Amino acid sequence: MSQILYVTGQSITLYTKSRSGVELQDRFTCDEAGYSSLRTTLSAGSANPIAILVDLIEEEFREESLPHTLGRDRSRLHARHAGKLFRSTPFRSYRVVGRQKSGRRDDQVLFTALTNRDNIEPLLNVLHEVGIPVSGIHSLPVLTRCLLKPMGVKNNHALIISSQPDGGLRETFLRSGKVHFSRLAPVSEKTLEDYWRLVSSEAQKTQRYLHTLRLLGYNEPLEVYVLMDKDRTVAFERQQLDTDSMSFSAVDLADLSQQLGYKHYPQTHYSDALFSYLLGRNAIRNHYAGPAHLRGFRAWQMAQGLRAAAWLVAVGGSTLAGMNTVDGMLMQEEKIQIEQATAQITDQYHKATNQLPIEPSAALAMRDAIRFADTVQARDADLDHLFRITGKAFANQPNLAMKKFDWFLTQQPTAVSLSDLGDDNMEGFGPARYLVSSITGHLRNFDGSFKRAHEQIEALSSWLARQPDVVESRIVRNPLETRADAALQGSVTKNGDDESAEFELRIVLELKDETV
Amino acid sequence: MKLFEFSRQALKRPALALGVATVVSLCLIWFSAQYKDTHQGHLNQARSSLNIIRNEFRLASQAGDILNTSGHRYKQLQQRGFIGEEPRLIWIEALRSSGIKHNVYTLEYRLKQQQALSLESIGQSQYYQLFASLMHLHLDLAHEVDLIRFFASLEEEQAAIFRLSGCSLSPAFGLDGVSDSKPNITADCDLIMYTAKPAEVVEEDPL
Repeated sequence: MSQILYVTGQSITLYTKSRSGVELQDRFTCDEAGYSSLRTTLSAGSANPIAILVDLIEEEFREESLPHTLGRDRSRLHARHAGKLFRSTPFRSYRVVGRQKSGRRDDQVLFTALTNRDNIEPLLNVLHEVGIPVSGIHSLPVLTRCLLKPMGVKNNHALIISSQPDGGLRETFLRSGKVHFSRLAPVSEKTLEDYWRLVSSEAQKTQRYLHTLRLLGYNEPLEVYVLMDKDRTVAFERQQLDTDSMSFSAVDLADLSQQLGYKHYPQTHYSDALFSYLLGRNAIRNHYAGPAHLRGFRAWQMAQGLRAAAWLVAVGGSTLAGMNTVDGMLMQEEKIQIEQATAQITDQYHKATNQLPIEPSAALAMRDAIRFADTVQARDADLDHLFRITGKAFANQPNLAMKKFDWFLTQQPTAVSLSDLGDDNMEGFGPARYLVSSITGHLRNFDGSFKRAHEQIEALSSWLARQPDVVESRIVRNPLETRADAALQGSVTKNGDDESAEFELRIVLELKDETV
Repeated sequence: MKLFEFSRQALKRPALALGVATVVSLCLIWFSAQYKDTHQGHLNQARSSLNIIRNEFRLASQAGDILNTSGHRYKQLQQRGFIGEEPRLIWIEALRSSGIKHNVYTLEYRLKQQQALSLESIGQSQYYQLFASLMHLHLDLAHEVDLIRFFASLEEEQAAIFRLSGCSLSPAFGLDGVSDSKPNITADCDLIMYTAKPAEVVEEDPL
C-alpha cells in the first residue's frame, strides 16, 4: 500500500492510499518532536517507497521565454536556466507550457522551485534514517490540472482556489489546461463572511498580479472555481462575489471526489486529502526530487524487479519441469499399454504363423508372381474378332481383295508400326491397349472408274468403323491420290488395270480386359 | 553513507533469490527433461516393436489369405514354366506339336536372349523379377484360320505364359491361284515369352 506525505510549512500529514481513497494515518508538526514522532511511526510501518506532496508558501513560479530547442539540448538548457534562477535550492523543476506565436517562436517555460530547502531536507533525513525510499517530491499546484476535466472547466483562463490545512488559501492559475502560476495565501478567517470576503479579495489580488505578469489580459475574463464543502456551497449561492471580469463558481469537494473515485471524502472544506488521492491515483512524474534523492527508490525498483524475475523464473521453471514430469509419466503409462498390446499381437502372430505351411514372405512372393502373370496376360489380341470383321467386310465388297494383312499390339492408338522390342522399347513388353492392323488390298475387276473404286473402298472402311471395339477405320491410301496438295498424273482407259487400283486401310481396335 | 546512497545491500537478497531460483529452476528443468527423454526413448522403442509385430501379423494374415485364394493359380503358373528358369525346350516342343496338329507347312523360330523387365505398367516386386524373351516365328499355312488354331493350340499346350505381339500375313500363291496341297499364306509373327524368377536368384551382368 503506497504512502503519501503531505507537507505544509507547519505540518506533515501521513496518508495511506486505499482502493477508494486515502486514509489519514497521522499528522506531525514540523519540529524536532514532530520529526521524532514521524520517525517512530514510519519505522513501525512498511519500508515501501513514499511520495511527498508539497504545499508550501515558499514555492516559486517563474515563466520565462527560452529559444526553442529539442531533445537533450532542451533538457540541458532548461536545467541550466533553472539553476541560474534558483541557485539556493536543489528542489527545482521546469516544464514547457507553450510557445510564442510570433518572433523567434521561443518556448514558454515554467520554472518552479521550493526556495526554502529547510522545509524538505529534515524530512528527507528522517526518511533516510528509517530506510524508506522517496518515489518523488510532487508539487500540489501542478496536480491541480488533474481537476480540470472532472470539474468540467472549459474556460481558457481559470483560477482554482482551495483551502489547505494550516490556514492556507491555494490559488492556482491555469491557461489552456496548463498551470502557469500559483500562490498560497495565509488565511485567518473567523466567520464564514470573513471567508467570502477573503476569497474575493485574494482572487482580485491574484488577478491584478496575473495582469502584471501579463499572464492574463485586462479584457480577458477569469473564471474562479472555489473548492469547498457542502455547507459552504449552499451558503455560497447567496453571495454576490462576481465582478465584471471575474465570475465565481463553487465546487463541492465531496461531489468532485466522488467523480474521481474517492468514495467517502471526509467532512471538511480542506482539499489536502483530495490532492493526496490524486497523487496516489495517477502516475504523476516527480517534480523536485533530484537523482540523489531517488537513488533509494531506484534501488527499491531494481530489487522489486529482481524479486519479480525470481518469481517468474521459479514459476516458469517449476511449470516446465512439471510439464516434463507429467509428460514422462504419461509416456510411461502409454509404454505399458503398448507393451501389453505387443504381447497380445505377438501371441496372435505365433498362432497365425504356426498354421501356415510356408513363410509369410513366400506367400507374398506368390502374390507378386501371380500379379505379374495376370498383368502380362491381360488384354490379349482377339484374333477371332479381328479376322471375323475383316472377313465379313471383304465378303460385303466382293470386288475388293486383300493382299497383305499386318497387325500388332501397342499402347498408343497412333502407332504406325511395331517398334523393335528391347532396352529402347521396354514398355512394348508390357500390357497393350490397342490392336492396330494394316490391310493392303486391290480391286478384283477394275473397270477404270476410280470413283466407283473409291466408293467401294469407302463402304468397306465405313462398315468396319461401325463394328464393336473399332476406334478407328481409315483409308490410308486410295487407288487414285486426289489430295489437292499432291501432284496427279495418269491416263483414262476403257478397261482398268487390276494392279493399278491398290488401296490401304488402317483399323484400330481397343482391347478389353480378360479375366485370367 | 551519503543521503539515499545506492544500497547494494538492499539488492543482495533479491539478487541471491533470483540466482537460487534460476539454478533450482534449471536443475528441475534438466532433471525433468532427462526423465521425459528416457521415457520418450522407451515409448519410441515400444511403439517401434508394436509396429514391427503388427506388420508381421498383418503379413501373416495376408499370407493365409493368399494361400487360400491364389495357391492353385500359383501351381498352374509353376506348371506352365512361368516361375523359375525358362523352359525353352518345352516351348519348342509345344511349337512343334501345335504345328503338326494344324498342318503348318513351315515353322521357323528365332528366340532372342532373355532380358529382365522393369515396367511402370507392371510395377516392382521385392520377391520376383519379371523376364521376357522375344520369339519370332515364320509360318507357311494353307489358310489364315490355321494361324488362329495354331496359337489356340499353343495356348492349350500350357507350356508358357506368352503374348502374341504382332503378325504380318501375306499370300503365298501366285498366278496359279489357291491350292489345298501347298501353302497359301505366309505369316511372320512376334511372341513374347514371359518368366518370373525369385529376386535373389537373379544374376547380375558382370559387365
